[in-house]
Amino acid sequence: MSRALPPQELAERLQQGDRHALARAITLVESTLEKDQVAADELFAHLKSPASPSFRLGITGAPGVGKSTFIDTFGTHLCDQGHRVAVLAIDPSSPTSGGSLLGDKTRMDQLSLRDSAFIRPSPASTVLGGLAIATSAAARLCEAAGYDFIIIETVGTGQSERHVVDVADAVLLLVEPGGGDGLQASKRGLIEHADFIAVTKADGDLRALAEKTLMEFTHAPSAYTPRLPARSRTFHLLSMHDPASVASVSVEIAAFAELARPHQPAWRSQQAESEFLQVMERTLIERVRSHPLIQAQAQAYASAEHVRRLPFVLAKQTIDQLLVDKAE
Amino acid sequence: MKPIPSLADLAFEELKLPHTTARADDPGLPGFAPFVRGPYASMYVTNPWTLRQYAGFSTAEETNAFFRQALAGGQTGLSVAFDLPTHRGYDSDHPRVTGDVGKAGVAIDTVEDMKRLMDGIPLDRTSVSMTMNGAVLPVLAFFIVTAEEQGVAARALSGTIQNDILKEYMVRNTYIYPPAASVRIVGEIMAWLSAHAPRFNSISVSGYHMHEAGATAAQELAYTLANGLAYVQAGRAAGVNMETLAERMSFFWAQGMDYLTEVAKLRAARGLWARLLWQLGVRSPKALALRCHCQTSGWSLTRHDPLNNVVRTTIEALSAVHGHTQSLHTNSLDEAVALPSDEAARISRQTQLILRHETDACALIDPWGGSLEIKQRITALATEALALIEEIDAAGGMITAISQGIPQRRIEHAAATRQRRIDQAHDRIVGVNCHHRDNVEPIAIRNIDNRAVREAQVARLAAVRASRDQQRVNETLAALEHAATTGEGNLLELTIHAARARATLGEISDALERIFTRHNAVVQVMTGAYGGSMAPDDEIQAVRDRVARFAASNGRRPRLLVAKMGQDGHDRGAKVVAGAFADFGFDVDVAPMFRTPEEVCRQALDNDVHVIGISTLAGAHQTLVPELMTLLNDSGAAHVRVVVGGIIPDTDHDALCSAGVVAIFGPGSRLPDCAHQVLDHLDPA
Repeated sequence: MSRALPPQELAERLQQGDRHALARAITLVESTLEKDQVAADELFAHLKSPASPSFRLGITGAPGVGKSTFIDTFGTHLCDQGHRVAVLAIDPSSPTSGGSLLGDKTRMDQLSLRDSAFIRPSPASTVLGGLAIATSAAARLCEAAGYDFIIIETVGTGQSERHVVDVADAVLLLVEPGGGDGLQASKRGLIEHADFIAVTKADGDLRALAEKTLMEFTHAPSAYTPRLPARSRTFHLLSMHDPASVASVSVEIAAFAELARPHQPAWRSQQAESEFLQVMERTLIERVRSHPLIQAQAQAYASAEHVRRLPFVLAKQTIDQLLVDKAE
Repeated sequence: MKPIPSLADLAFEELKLPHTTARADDPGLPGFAPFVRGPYASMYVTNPWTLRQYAGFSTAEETNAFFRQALAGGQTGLSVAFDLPTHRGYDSDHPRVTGDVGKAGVAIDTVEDMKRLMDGIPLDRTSVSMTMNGAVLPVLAFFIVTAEEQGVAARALSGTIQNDILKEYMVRNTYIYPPAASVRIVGEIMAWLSAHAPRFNSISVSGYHMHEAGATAAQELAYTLANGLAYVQAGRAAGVNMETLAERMSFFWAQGMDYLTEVAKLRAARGLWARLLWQLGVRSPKALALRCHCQTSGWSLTRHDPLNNVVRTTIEALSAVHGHTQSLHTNSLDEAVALPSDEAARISRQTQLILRHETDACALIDPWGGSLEIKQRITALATEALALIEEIDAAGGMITAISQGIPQRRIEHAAATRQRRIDQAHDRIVGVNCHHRDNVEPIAIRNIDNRAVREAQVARLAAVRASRDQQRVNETLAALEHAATTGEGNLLELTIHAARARATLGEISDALERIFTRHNAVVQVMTGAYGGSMAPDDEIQAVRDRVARFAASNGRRPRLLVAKMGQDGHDRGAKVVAGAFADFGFDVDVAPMFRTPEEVCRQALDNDVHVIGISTLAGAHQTLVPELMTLLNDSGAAHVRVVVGGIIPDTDHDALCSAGVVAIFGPGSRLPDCAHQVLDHLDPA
């Protein structure tokens, strides 16, 4: 296949289940080039809406908690049940070099061998429009290519936790035994949005600690608002040595997915709204930063004004001036 | 497993031991605990070291011929190298091993192959060392049955089985089962051998592969001794007396180019081991004395100007001798590019004979005894090693530490740092990063027709399967599975029954795999180790700038998939390259270990990478890289560039290039140069 396939043909091949076309299309939506973004737009115009929406599960947790190991077993289980599974994994990029190590398939050894699975790691930094935007576009591409179960894996730190909430239909939070310590602080945002919480590595010497950690989570006060009426969140213990523990989580998730079906059109539209607003934010910031007036003001402030002024009022005045100029 | 005893109270300088007044700066006498100055009182004056060359060439017949030639040429013990499918428990006809049969060692599928390998070699009088860790049960059983059918009882056998599985999870990756099951196998082998083959060493705890993967001398010491302690525990769990066990353990060290450090390393190893065992209550002097085999470093050999390697090997051999090794393998000058040719093997053997006969190496008991410099190095190495052992101890023992990646991370960091120092010519290597000479005559090397070897093995397997009593095979394999499940019966004993019935290596391994499962390692790669080992200099910055320009014009960073195909588990190079390219600003995908060309092709397409980097150290590239190129072309992915790095003989370059490989990086390649070359080849469109 030529690298620069016309968007319409790419859309057709992708919808026929061509993995290579799907891979190319994801590259296109992640690209920072304007011509690629235009092509991606055209591609989306040729996508038919799927008969039934895919289910999107966000999986998040600290590095080393066992996300990929879980996905390997869980995804293989889904394939066995006849699902077509796509995994979109977001790996951090180095702030100094900009590069990244995308090692997820080394941990998804079994799943990566399945024909009905598609695994695509993406470096966080290339996603200029914000993580959620490219990921949700990639999820839509996977959906169009016939994948009905989409797993979005992120490192549960910083901004990505919010983004995963924005693109997923449900969120599974994985925690390590002893990982309840930060319950009150840093992980709060994540915990409030998790529809499933599972403590990993619950075997051998760590079993007792895992049980204790699960109790802490079960009893901790939480601002969780159930996404589905009449369904509270569930708590689980996971051991990779015990297939039944994975099966029990997957039964809960399947039940959730079934109940979610009638709500999904509404969720998709909420997701689209937040997607649009995020792109607006990003675009605005980029435009503003590169605007000559703003750059001139920033220079002026940096060279002289900062000794006698604060930036707040000045910033507002500058923006007003910019908007007035545009309006005229 | 019980944690190893706490060492916090074990100050190296103060420990009291018998026969010594117990200070490190008074290391006692050769032959007396703590044996710092040598395990035997008269050392080489009465008993020179054993000249033991490691060899294995594709087929049993070829290797047998080499062995007989070596024995006639002055060699005093045999050492067998097996091919990778044998290590990993696959028969030669398994679909995952098409590129690996007969590469890097001899293919052994059944007792019949082992009989051909040992044909005409009197096993009651020849000590045989076997480098086998993964498929240790079938290989050892084949050896024992071969002796039995030669009329030699197990009791009369002497030699060593490497049987050191823990280091495989750290560096070399030729394991089959998960760590706990593997350590159980080690324990049961120790139990059977101590009861039935008391002259056979049941384990050779190996630091060699750690050194070759980039470990520092202190890391090599610490992790090897910590593994040794884990095996002592495993043997105890299998009911073997600890003293008997320690008496049958031996160690295996690498000898690199840091001559004085290597001399001190072997001494520190003996001193530390005696002290560690003493802490466990071992008192017999024979058990406390660490005995070892050494091999000169293959990693230190260069592809450029290969005759220099004779000099390197000689110096490394001398440090082994001055450190008091019990046996020694000297590498051949061509091992940076291929398996040794007959001529190269002869020179390496003669290196040892010259040391023995023409120098005064055997005239003195301990020429380095009393050197202040050596003493200081021993203390420094021992102190650092004890700290590393304590870290393993604190993690809950070696199996847990390995599962958390503690030793792996330390070794990888050391390897990346070392690579950077060489690339900056901070560490000098003559002919590589200084005093470079162009137009060096290529040396004649050994090439292996892998397809022919495989076809021959496949035919032999078919013949064995056709002529055996299948009922008996099924019964013996079922008994083995039963023992694996219940823990009743000895696994080696039952494997011997299966071997007698002519069960194949793959069938035996599969039977155990059904119970134990096959281990999948998580490949850990670090960023920052290469680029971060010093402040990013102009050179790294230049690569990063070029990568940034690429990203600006292509809409994304250059994306590289680093993969290994076939059963070669040496992943130091792949990891260093992956980490360094991420430090250069590439997006780097890392494939799981042991891939087939189909799997690599799929990952490259799914991840839409610009370039695939194949790391190859065991010769499988000859078969597998052309297969990958065909697959890429057939999938319409001819735009994906392929580069190959590792041990690639010059004679393979043309074939790889005509298959479409755009660059080949041999040992000694500088990583920033590699990055520029890769960028040169990326389609700028």
